[in-house]
Amino acid sequence: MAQSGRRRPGFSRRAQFGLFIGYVLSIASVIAGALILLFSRADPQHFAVARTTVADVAAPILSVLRSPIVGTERAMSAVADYFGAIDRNRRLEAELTAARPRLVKAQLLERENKRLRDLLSLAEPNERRIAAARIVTSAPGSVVRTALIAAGARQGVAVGQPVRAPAGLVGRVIEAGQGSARVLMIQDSASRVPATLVRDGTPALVTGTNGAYLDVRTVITDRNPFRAGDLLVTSGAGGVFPPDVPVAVIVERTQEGAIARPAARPERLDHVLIERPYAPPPPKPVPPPAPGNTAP
Amino acid sequence: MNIPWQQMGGGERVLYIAAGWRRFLPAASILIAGLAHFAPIVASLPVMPDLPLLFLLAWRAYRPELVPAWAGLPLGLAIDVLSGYPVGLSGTLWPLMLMAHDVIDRRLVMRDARSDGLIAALGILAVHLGQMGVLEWISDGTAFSHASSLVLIGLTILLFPLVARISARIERQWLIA
Repeated sequence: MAQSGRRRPGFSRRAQFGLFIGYVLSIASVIAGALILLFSRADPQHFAVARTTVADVAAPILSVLRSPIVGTERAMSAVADYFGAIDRNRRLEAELTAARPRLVKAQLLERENKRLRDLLSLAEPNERRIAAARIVTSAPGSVVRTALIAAGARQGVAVGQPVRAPAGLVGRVIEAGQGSARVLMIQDSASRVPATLVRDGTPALVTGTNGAYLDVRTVITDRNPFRAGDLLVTSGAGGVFPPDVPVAVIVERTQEGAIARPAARPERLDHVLIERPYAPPPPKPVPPPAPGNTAP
Repeated sequence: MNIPWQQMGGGERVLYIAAGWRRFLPAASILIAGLAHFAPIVASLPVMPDLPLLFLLAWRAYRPELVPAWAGLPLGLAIDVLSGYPVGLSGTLWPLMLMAHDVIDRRLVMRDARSDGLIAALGILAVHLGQMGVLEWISDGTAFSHASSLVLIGLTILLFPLVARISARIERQWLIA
């Protein structure tokens, strides 16, 4: 098909003017878009109202839509469990035999720990759970790894709260609507989780890559302490994530650190717990009123 | 139907304006495709192809006058809000891409399905690389899993013929008078 006209407006003043307006509008829209992007970089909360409104409408519908999918996934994994059941059973029995002495030791340690704590009269941290919610969707197409949960300000969810599943850390709340909230998952490249290597207590930083795996770096640079299979738990540094929540399992060590997979497999997530921030941020300092600006 | 506006009655004017709803079909299909980001899937990888961008490119190929470059701004902003991107990401990249598309269109002498597909592939690649660049800038340069994004870009490009067919069908159904 030959190109249909529209490139040369001819001698018509009106057509020329229309073309000119088109150019101006296009360039203006790019500039407007860039300005909006700058705004949202400076303060991601700028447009939160629009987003949370959409999410509030979508979340209840989606959580209903998701239940048959979850059911199907469960049925599939129930079928898959039968394959290789004998091998797995033998392996698990062997692991259990190996783990039993450790369990006894752990119980002894726990008792000793409790006795020592009683001696020091340390207070146990109180209940941190705010809400349990169904995870609704995880923005499957985006370059941004966020998830939508079906609980919001009505349930007490607020920005900055950590979100976890029984298996491990999921992320933290970045937007809270009335009945829904958006969670920045630890897989997002904007997410950083201060963690500790369980084996020797090395501090590390777990960064998302927007892919299936996480990037782990140590704070110490002269050696690489990671081994495949190592477990990383949150260290509680930074005050958002409570300590001792599993974050990631090392898969492979690299030049600068290691690659890990999340302890809570996102595709297995169903319900998550929203908790209180470990140490809430200090209140913002009130700026002293500028002279002259206080006039009504 | 060619009664001058001044001579129309009130009811006729309403009908005349309402008859223009078809102009918003491309926008509507792009926004509906944007709802795919709400698909109830929880995955560890980005798996959903960029359907809104595909519909935009398909409409740009069939009916360029219905998706002028400036329309990329409102549509892109809506998609940003729907999909959880930083607001303004698609809002900037879409009009830019459409302007580049205009420039290419003016250079081309002949167009066929293959050149449309090629231009769409270039557009998808450019927009997604732009997204990654901007996101790295926003998150102050972190390690980014390019591999999974490249897989997604490839998948999106391969889906273009299908989406082009869907929008062609919509066009045949409602837009050809």
